[in-house]
Amino acid sequence: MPDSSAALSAMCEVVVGSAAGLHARPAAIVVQTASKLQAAITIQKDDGPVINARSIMSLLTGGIHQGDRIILRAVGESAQDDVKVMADLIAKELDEGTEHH
Amino acid sequence: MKGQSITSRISGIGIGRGIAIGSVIRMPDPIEDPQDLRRTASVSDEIKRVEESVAATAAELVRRGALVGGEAQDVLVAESLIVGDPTVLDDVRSLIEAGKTAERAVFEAFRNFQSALLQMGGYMAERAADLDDVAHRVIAHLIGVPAPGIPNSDHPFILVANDLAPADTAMLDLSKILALVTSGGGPTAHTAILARSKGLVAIVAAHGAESISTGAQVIIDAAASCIYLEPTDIELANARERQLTQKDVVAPLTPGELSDGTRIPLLANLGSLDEIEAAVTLGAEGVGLFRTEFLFLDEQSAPSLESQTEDYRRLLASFPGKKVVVRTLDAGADKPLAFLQQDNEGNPALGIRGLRAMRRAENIMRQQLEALAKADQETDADLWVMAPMVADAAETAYFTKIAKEYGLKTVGVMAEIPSSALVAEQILAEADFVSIGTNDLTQYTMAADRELNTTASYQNPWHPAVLRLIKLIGDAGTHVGKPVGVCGEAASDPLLAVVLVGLGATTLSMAPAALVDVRAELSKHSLADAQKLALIALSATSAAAAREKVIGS
Repeated sequence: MPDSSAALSAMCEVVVGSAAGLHARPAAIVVQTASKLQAAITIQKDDGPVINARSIMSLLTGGIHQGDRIILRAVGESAQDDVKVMADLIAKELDEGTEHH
Repeated sequence: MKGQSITSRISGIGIGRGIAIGSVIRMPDPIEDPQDLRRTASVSDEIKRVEESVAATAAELVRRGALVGGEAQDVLVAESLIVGDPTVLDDVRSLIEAGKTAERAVFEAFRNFQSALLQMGGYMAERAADLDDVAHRVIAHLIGVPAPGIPNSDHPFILVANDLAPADTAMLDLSKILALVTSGGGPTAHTAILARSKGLVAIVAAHGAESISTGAQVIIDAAASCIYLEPTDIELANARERQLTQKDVVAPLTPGELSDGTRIPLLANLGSLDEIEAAVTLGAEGVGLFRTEFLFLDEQSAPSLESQTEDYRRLLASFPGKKVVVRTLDAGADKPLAFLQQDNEGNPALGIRGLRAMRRAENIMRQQLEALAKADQETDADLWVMAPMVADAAETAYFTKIAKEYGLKTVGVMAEIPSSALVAEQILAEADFVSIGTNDLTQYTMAADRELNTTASYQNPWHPAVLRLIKLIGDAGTHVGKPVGVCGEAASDPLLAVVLVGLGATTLSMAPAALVDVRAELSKHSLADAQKLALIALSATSAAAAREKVIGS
């Protein structure tokens, strides 16, 4: 196979911004966004398993907490753009709508 | 019902006094675990079926989420993401390729993820139940039956179910429910508690309600504990007339009183600050049970002294000059809290809960008592404080000593364990009052898990064994001249409330919606009459017989 068939890929590192980590509502937002992006995105913490960002179950069981440094990898035509969208998202507090009392 | 069989009527246990007329929608039957049969269809056909069912189920969840909004929408959207989870679908594909049917593959794939969640404990373990719901929805679509869960309808209906779980009732749109009927469950089961707290017409333990089908026109008469299956024109006319008069008559919000003038203060059970207004509106003369779990349940750590003090201040300020009984935190393996390290108990109802759990985390209890004492100083309510799940006088002394260190004036305990009834006099030597929690007292007396459907028939506070224990506590209170309250579901059953007074209860506390009916029933009986009815109930040989004999006398 000629190497032109190799899909475009991109990678970046991001620190998780949500207080709840990638659980509960923040996890749902990540999955919903990842499902709309063209590129396939994975999330990996340290040497942990490579998590499909479209899989809510994998995220929920992934044990990713606020402040964790994680690696995002995107594969697909819009890998560069999509990995940035996802990194910006994950760096934010995604649970602003809920009241803590 | 005398011996003759009347097929057009079904009797059960009515909750409240209301009456409803309408058409039935049955709760769909639960989905059974699909059998592990050999797949006969091709792999690609089975996968295609799964993909279609998954897409339809996810779309339905999103649609329903948009209808309900709020927190319920978050839950439904999360469920829709779980349904369409690519990792789960990969597992389903592998299982189908390995020879499983589509139904079985869906079942097994979700079950595998469920056990992963359960192993994580805490919040994740709680989400495990969602997976059951999700898997059942997909399987229902695959086999072509209605999805489990609360049915939807554009117009109000009478919901008939075998039983309703808390997860079901959380989804209930009460504005669409005319009445609830369950063939299972007892008067202290979840459905009955919900119906009382919301003032819904309901009949539980209606054996035979399994035969009522969707679309049937029925009358639900909670006062008579009777369902009319094919009501005659006369019965319909009577029911409509009663509905009209019930709407018009606004019962006066007088204090609780027997016909001979004996005062029986009627208090409210509250589980959050939001419920205060309804309690005041419905004429509660104070609070007989303020549950404090809600302050802790959402927290990752114990709430601060300041935030607790503020919450208690709001509560007490709403009842100036009135009695407010606050129960300290009732945590345990059945109500796990994020910040309390808890053992994995096979039998949580018999484990470390209530005061036992607080002894292990005494600083949390002390902080709660300190916050209560501070709020008490700044307000004019008559604050009483009590501990849950107290076994004997030694535990009572432990709690009252600490509470009084903080300057709390009136300190008591809950009587929920049969041992506490047997030594009630010893306990009252250490405490200022006792409040009987009939739900747990019944569970422990009858050795019947409150959470189990299969033992619901034992969970009946009318049982003479339970009533005899209550009498021991009532007699002890009378003897030493200290108050004995009842704050379990039993107090919200109007006739049982009269029996409880006859057994020695000096106050009754209940869901605010039950106050009207209990107030009306108490006013029909003298103390001597209540004591006579109590003796009749005590001498019966079963819960059902006790109730029937009291109704018939």
